[in-house]
Amino acid sequence: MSNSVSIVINAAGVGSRLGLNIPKSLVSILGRQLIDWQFSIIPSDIEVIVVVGFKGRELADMVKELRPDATIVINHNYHQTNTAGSLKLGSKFGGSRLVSLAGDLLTTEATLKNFILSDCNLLGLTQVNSVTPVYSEVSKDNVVNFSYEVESSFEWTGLANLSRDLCADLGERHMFQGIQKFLPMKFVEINCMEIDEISDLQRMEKWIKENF
Amino acid sequence: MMEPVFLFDFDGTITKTEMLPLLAKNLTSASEILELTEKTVRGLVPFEESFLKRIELLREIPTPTIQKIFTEAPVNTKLLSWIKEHRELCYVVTGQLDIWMKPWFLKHKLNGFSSEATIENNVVGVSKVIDKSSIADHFPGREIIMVGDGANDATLMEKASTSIGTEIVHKVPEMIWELADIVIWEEDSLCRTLSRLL
Repeated sequence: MSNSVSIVINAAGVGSRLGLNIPKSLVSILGRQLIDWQFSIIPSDIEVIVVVGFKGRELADMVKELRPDATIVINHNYHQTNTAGSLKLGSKFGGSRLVSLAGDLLTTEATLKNFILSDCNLLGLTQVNSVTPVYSEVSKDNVVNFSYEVESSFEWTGLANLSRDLCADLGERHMFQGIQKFLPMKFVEINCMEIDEISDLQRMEKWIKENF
Repeated sequence: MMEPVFLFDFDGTITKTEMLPLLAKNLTSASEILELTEKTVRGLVPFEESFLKRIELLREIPTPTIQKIFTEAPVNTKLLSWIKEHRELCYVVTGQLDIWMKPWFLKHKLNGFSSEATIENNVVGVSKVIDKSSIADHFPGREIIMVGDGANDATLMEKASTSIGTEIVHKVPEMIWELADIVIWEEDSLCRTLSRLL
């Protein structure tokens, strides 16, 4: 696999909707922390960058145990920026292509591999299943619009393969807001699960049992 | 566009250990200097105060012995190779005395900034303790990448465009965590990152 691909895990957020006073990456599911599950699907020869913020030192200690070759990027401004801000920071130190993985998202090894191997910008969508989805309007193979209001059958997941230059130009807010100006962009439907709220923990357990 | 400049702390960043504990092995009483070094790295004692005290404690070791210990100190070889490969862009910034560092700089054909020593009646003194923050002034208009691991790197990190905290030898103190853009644990990862910042 190409050495110029880096996986950036955006794990700086507070996870306020979950309300557990720890980063979502450190939430334990079936005896393993979420970031541990994420590392289990990342090939060992792929460079990993973890962007930390809230309780970053604690999260970094866990990352060091699991992937000591990882690079920790610190988003000191995590309470005023969002995933795009974290990805922008991470992109400075990454390869020419970045696979951005939201810190609260788990997908399958095969899906992640597909994104790692992509040599063009690629977005991951799933059928709408969350309480507050970012609706993704599509046309053929492309996403043409993101919206909180205009309903569609797909929602944005937080998994993407993007060029380093594009990542640096996404602003500081949510990734989908930064990507909006670069649409249309190719997408694939993926099998994944994310944790937003307490009720998602049980769903995540079930999803892991079915997919791992 | 002007080329970036890479500044590297010496103890625990280029070397695999802090130097003063290595030197302390040559002292009859090493515990005081070891304790002082530990407190200084963690930022519990101001660098200048600690450094002057340590120089006093080290006076019983002949300068050639100290120079030999420096030139033979174990180093992070991949990092040092990277620095030597890009020597025109790289400088070592260390609080250690220039007379101790000189043979090391000559051996590796590298440039750097150190504290300045005086020698009177064969007694080593200090004429100037390095102010790391002032080193940035030597490179006006250039992007500065600072690589370090100790509390005395903080002032230079504040002025750098990019600050890299290294935890190859020990954990960075809290103040370095607060100033660093990234933290890295392994040499390979560090060298790859440095290459991307060229």
